Amino acid sequence: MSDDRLKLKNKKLKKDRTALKLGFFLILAAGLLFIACFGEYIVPYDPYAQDLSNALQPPSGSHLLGTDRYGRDLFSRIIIGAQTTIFSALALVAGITIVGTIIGVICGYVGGWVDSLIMRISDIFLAFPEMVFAIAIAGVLNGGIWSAAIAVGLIAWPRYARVARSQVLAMKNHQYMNAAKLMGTRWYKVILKHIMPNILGPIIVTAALDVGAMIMNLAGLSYLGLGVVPPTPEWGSMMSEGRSMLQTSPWIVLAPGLAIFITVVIFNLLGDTIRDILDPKQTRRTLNNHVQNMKAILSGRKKREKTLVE
Amino acid sequence: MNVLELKDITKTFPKNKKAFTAVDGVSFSIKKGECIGLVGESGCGKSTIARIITHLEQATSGEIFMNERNVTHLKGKELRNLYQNLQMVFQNPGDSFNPRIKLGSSIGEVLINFGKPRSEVKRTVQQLLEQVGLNPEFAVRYPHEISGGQCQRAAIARAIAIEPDLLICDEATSALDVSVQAQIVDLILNLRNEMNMSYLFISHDLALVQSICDRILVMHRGRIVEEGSTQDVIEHTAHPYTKLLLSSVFPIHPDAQWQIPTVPQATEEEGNACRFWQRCPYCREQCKKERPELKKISEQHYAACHFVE
Repeated sequence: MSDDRLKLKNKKLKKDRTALKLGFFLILAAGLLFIACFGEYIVPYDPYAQDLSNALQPPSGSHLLGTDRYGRDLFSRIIIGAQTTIFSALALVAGITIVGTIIGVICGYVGGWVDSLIMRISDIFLAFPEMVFAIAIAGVLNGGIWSAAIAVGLIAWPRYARVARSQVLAMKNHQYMNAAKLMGTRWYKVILKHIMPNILGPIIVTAALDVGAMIMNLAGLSYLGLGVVPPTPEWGSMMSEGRSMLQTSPWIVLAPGLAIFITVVIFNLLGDTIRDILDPKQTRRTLNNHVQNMKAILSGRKKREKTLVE
Repeated sequence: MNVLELKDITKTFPKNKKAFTAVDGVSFSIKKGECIGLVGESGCGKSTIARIITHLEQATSGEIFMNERNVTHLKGKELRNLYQNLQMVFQNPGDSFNPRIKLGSSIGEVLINFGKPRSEVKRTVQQLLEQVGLNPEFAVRYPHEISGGQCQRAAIARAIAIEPDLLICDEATSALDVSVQAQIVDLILNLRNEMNMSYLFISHDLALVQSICDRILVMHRGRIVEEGSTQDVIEHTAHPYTKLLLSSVFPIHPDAQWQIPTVPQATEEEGNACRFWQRCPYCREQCKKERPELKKISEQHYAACHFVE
């Protein structure tokens, strides 16, 4: 087989593999959503029912993941907790994607002082350490998962606005944007028909990669007591509740921790795969890449030093 | 009647804190049915003029008239209506169509925007494609699925769809290879005979312009240096810069009459000097002190040089 054909075959294989990967992670993510949607019908116990005689039981046949200090079944609580955690994260990502994109498109399209003003405001938001800012806002608002979502959303929108803005600015250099103007296309049609379809890819990639991070942020705020109000099961607050018993009953922390871990990994890998498909120009930064980059930089420096000496 | 008239158009861009004058007091007019060629080297302001006429760029000063109406400061709805009489074919055919929209929809968009009933659009698009020598089936293709020449034909179809009074071709053929260029030129000539449109044909290729246009304007560094009928400009060339352009069109002669030192990026302010003096073989003291204005040589033939009669 000639080299070219081999290359072609490899390329095709890679494409197939990406599609396969996408399917695989989509099924996993759909599974998580399914659990979140129909949690009520899956759970073996009422997640709110206290049974003090069964408190702090380690994982066993009757309680798959053990019980917490009030004797509530952890497995049931995690399944019901998936609802709060996953749905609020998805709603949050959807919300900031829409808001951020609208703001970014306006900035890029209108330009001028509007652009400068909004971008400076977004700079202010970006200048604070994310989590500290979120904690401050969630603390000011009156608690609950939605105030946590608003807090995280407030620190996350500038990224989306910037992605959308830079895409629109790049679009403006295309002649078909001028052509659209000459065709007498109205501004809202230019945005909807000519700009949006062409910039959607990078925005979706940003959003898909962000779902995992948003789950982490929300769980983090809940862990600090700024998210959901007990007794509503939520993974972050569940971990927080078990913190004091970490040495005697580690499963109370481990179970929700693992749930967060698995969910974040699935959504991150899904985001990665979506990126591979929608944005093939961006290569993934693997460890190998970094090593090679470092090698290249080091050898380049050596060469330069050599020529300098000579 | 003048379809288009430019009066003293100037455009300056800020460049390293200094103003760079891309177009410097350009005036000309295009009569109905006339085809005008605008030639000059890269960066002389040809495309800027096209962008100013189409309002993609605002002129710093000067006025634009279309069909005897002042259109310099049109905005919004009135500007949209202006495009019914004014269309442009862009330089890079591949980039002048949205890659995600089928060619038929792209061409149809302009028809719908200017009030063609939707039921007729499909038929009209197919007629247009046939008119520019494309298979009507191309309406369902995407821009990347066809060649550059075909794409440029489609772009021309889009531009003539609403039968504008003036069609601007901004380097419409320079991204294409020579044989395709000839086809596009043929197409434009045919359209000229069929439709009563005026053309502003912008190019750096004097030979190409010569074969299409009635009149030629030669631009050099933001100014028009020679203006006249094609015959006058080609056969009775007056300005040394036009001679330079002509000699570069026919490079077959090994003994080129004169060597011209090229001055790259001579953007520094020359005050009142002739802008060509550094490269001009006939340069004299007067050229470094005094800027020549357009002088009448014969009926309809003007040149901006001190030493023409």
